[in-house]
Amino acid sequence: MSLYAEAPFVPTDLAQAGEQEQLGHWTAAARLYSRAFRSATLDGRVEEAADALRGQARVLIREERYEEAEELATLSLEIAQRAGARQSAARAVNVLGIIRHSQRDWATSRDLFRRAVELALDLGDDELVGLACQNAGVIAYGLGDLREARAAYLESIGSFVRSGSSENALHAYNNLGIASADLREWLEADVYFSRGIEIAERLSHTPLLAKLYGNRAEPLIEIGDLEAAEATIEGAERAAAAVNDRVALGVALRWRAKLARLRGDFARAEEHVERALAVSTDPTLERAEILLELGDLRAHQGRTDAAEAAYLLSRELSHSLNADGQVRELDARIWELHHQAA
Amino acid sequence: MDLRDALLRIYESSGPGTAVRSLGVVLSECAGVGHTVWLAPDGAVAAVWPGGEPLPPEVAQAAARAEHPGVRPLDGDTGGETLVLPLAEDDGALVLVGAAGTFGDPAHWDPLGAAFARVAAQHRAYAQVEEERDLLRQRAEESEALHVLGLAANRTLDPDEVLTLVARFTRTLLGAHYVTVNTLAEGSIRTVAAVGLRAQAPADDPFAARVAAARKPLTLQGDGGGGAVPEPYHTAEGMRVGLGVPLALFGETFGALVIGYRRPYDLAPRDTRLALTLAGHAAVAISNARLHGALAERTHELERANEELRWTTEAKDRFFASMSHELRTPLNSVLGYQSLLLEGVVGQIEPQARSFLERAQRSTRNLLHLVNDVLDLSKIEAGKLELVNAPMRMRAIVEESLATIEPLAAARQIAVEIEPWPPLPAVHTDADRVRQILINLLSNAVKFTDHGRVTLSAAIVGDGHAAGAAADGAHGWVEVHVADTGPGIAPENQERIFHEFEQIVGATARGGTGLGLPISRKLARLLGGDLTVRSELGHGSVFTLRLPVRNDEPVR
Repeated sequence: MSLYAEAPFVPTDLAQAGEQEQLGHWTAAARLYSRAFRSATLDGRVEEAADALRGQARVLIREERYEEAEELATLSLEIAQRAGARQSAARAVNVLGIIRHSQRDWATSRDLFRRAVELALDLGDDELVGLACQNAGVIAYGLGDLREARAAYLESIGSFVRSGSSENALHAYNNLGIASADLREWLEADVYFSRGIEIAERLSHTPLLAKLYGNRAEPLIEIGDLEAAEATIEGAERAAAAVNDRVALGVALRWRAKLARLRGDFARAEEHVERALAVSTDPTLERAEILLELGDLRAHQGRTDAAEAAYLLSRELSHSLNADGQVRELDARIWELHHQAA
Repeated sequence: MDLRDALLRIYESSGPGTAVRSLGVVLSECAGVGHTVWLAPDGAVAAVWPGGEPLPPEVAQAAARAEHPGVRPLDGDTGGETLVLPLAEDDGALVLVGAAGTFGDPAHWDPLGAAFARVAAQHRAYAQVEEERDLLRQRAEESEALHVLGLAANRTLDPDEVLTLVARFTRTLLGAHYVTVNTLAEGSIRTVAAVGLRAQAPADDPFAARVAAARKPLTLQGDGGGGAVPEPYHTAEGMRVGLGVPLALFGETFGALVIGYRRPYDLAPRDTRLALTLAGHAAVAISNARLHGALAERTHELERANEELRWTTEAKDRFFASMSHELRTPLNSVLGYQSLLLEGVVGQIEPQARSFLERAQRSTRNLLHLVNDVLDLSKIEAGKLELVNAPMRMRAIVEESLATIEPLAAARQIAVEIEPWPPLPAVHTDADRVRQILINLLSNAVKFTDHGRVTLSAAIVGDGHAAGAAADGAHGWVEVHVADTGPGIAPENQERIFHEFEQIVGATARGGTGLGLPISRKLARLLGGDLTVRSELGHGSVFTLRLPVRNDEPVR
């Protein structure tokens, strides 16, 4: 313990850029990273320059400018390696992995994340180990290997606990819950989402809180605890409204629709699903899931043709998003419709 | 200068750093103090207002080591001076820099030093609380993470999957490069799961074996802190620091969990604690897998034994059915010829020959009964006895059965009587089988009664109309009681008599195969009812045949 931990903090461009990135203010973040790179280069702070380049690359990924992002990340890696800045280099490798993942180059991406883990372990950079493991989990999940995804997310939780990075652990618990829900391990999924909610509330991380509350609805509905499901949906709506997250609001409304349908209140279910579609207009996986719920509702109403139409819309959207698991589920629903009709 | 304002600023500050800033602002405005500096014990500037490096290093070091407050000249040329206010040993010193004559009597500034020391102490206490809170939070996070691992590990019985999961989680939670899970089997140790290895898993890891033998955590350290560890396999893996913990459960050691670092690393008690917990998870997985394997093997054995038993039972049934049938045909033939001979079809026979022939005929009939009983039993046990159920009157069956048994009763001079008969609902059952049961009961009663009589009575139980009194759509019972005044049956024998080929002492002398009652009970149960006995030695026996009736059957 030392008194000197309280040294006054002067925010640098790099730190401010990071804050803006966290808030999703990409333009401001890009500008600050660019300024940080210039000043770091002029002052000869090589590691900081590499970090600034890596930050710029991350922003470019968000803007789906992958080639430029790759150029900057590669340059960042190059500079860091030449300067002997191993940590910076390891983080650049991780960012390169994210770029490859965004470009759907799974094999290279996975190799880069593995390399990042090894480099990070050499450095004792537990946070980076966790980030790279989590990224590897995302790849496994995307490829439909849910058990591998679950193992990788667990690894990332181990690292985040070790490094004390609660915010990253929060994402890992959410991902773990999603993978477990897909494995239909409902009790476990509920535990993971609950754990995420605890951390999100402690950190006042409202954006993720909205998602976690919404995600928790599914296991609770499957377990049959409809009252708790209703409560978590309310939580999701509150948090989504606070941060104006239309996607999370759409998810919450989707679960409301399902709850109403399960209770046999088709009129209310119809109302919720229409609202969900109205707020979740972007071509996202969440919208595809709302369309799936619409299909389920129509199927329960005995409107087979309308159900199939909704499933097909959902399938088309899921396919465009490379959500193979979702496509398989929709194919099964459509087959079942035909089978029942026959 | 009135120090009250400066003291107020110090007390309002959140810690030494902000106190320096607040104090510096006040003193620069009111007291002409150029710089307010907080020095660490080594003379390094921890905080300064308004910034810069106002003290030469040697002056700063001397000031930080000062034991008493004092004013010292700063620099001969400028004429500036410093006021040094020592704080607690770990907190360094507060130094004010001003022009010559700024500070006057050092004692005047004592409250300032005291206040600053107090803020530093408060901050230290606060930091300690923060540190403890962070430690508790980290412990809680670790517990939660271990709980989460347990949940995931419990999802599978595949030991490879669980152990690999444990190894992977151990690697990240302990920040290690590689982890191996090693189990003991037949005196040697082998690696059953690993993550992060560069080469093949070792065939036999002596370090893991030592940990398992020691049954306690052991560490491996490279020489000089950064060199290779003295274990060839782990040296090849690049281990600088290693930790091994035993895998143990319920006092049994299964093997060892080995954790390897390829960088210099200070193992902390936390690492050992977590490793032991994780080893516990691995031990549970191994134990579960072993139990599951043993259980699966046992289940397989039982299934095999069951299959053999089933085959044997079927073979026995087939044998009895076949043999009974094959025996019956010649026996009927023998009986037929005996009857012809006794009837004198081939001429008169001598009295002695007739006597022998009658004995032969009785024995043949007994043998035929036995064969018929065995055939019935084998059919019942094979589930091949077909029932022909129809509504029937119990009184009629009782009378028919009585008529069959009357010659025997007359020969033994035993009265067989029917007690006043209550109105009974029609019974939907197989009349032939009920008759078979009653004849068996009556013939037993007559055979075992030397004096007295045999009585038949009937009753409705559950009124025959009480809903729920019987299963399978039946709503009550009809009971027929066959009571005798025979020797009675001892309590310990009352169940035995219903077992195949079991006859109580003395019963064989009265004839019979020992199959009549077992068959009767099985038939009664096949008909949805039961056959029971109440008896007391010396006071006769009462056999009760109970059959189900429905409340919609008409009463007759």
